[in-house]
Amino acid sequence: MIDERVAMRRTVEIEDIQILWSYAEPEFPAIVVVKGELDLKLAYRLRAALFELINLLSPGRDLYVDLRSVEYISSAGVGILSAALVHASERNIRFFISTLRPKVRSVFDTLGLLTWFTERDPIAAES
Amino acid sequence: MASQAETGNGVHCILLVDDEQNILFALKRELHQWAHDRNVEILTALSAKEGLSILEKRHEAIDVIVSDLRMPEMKGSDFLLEVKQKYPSIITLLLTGYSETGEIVKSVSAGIFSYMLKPWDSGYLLAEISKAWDYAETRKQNALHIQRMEDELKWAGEMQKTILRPNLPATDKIEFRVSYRPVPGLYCGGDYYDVISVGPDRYLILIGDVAGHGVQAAFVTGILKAVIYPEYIRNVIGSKISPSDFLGWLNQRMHFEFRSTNSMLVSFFAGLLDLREGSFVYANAGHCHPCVIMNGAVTELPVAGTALGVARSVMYNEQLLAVHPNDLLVFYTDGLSEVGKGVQVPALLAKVQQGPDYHLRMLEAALQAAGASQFVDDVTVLTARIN
Repeated sequence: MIDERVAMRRTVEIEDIQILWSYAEPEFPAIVVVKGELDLKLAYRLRAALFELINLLSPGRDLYVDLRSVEYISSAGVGILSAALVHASERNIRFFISTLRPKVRSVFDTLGLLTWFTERDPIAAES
Repeated sequence: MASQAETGNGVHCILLVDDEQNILFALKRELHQWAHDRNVEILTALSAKEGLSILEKRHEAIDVIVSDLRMPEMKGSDFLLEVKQKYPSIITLLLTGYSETGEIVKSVSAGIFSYMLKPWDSGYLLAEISKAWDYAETRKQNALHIQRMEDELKWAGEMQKTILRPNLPATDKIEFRVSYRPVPGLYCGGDYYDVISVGPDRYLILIGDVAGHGVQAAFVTGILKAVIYPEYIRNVIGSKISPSDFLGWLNQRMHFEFRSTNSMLVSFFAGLLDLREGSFVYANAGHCHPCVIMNGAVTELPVAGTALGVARSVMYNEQLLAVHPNDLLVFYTDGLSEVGKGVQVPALLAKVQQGPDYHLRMLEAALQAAGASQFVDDVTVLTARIN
């Protein structure tokens, strides 16, 4: 069942950002996978991608930002995720981050923003 | 025909180099209309050496060189190699009747833009020279834009220094030292610091870091400077100052300032040092934890809080630290800890020898620990030694 549905889903890759979502399945979450170093340059691209996706999704949908492959995040990167969280909340979209490496987690923690996010793994949610 | 190297101010030139006068005549004829349309002066040289002599006088006006390959005294390939070395911004083209592979390879390594054969096809010749000319113009324009951007960044850096960099208070009871380094090449940045005297032997110590670099972050530091003293500190001087209340106010103020943008984030620390009471009361909005060094032992000042600007209303916790003579308070921005693959600042502080230039030695020690030659983010280190 899952395999059939995957064919209906769209994947877009912009440099180190991979976006997976589906128009056809309202229950399927949108997933944004970020790789490498979420520095200022990538943060600007991620902001554009996330805001566009949030505007595309219908209210009530789930949006996951998978950070398992992010080795470094700058405060600008956390700022972009925080802004996306606020924007998603305004549009009634549930926003999750997942699988933070210790170094990335410590940046969220120092900035006092870890507790603002809900951590949930999209793979666990799917199964 | 005599070689021409007339001088002129603001004139753009193309230099043709060939040991055969007839070829130079023919090339000038071919380029006459093209040069007229673009207001380009055509210079000619009968040898590579003469070409170099013209270049010595007029290299700033010459944008493109078309050179023969086989010439007495100095080959075209050697000439173009010397041009590349001395005048790398000039675009060069090779025009030859010979297919000497070795010489052509040498010319290619001299970075020639194009290679044309004699006898030439008029249309092809003009098209190649036009392309080279346009390329040279684009490069010049880009260089001008880069120069202008750099000049503006330098200006912004100077302005930021004038507006933000305070004269730190100096008394025999306390000694403040600071070092601020913006990202190399950007001249200005998002680090903020200030030490405000708020009463006899009382100082409000502030340090912050705007997410991002350069002008955008520098603008935000300007806003911080513009609101902190006139709108808050001036009204509370002489009365009780609470760092947590101050951060709560500053968060709300910056949230308002960021209303038309998104993704802006500022980490900020505020501490009130009272030397008469021997106390340091502090609160933190997502900033790196400062440290205190007491009798050689380094201790972090760990109080957490949310960075400024994300949420409209945030409450901050306050902590109290008892301070004594010879204690050293160390404040810094994350440029210090993020150098290389990351530096553990408290461990670093313990290793740095104390003394008047402690803050500078910290910076050097961080670079050394990270095996890096420079910082990749704005970095500020502010120290306060109680005498």
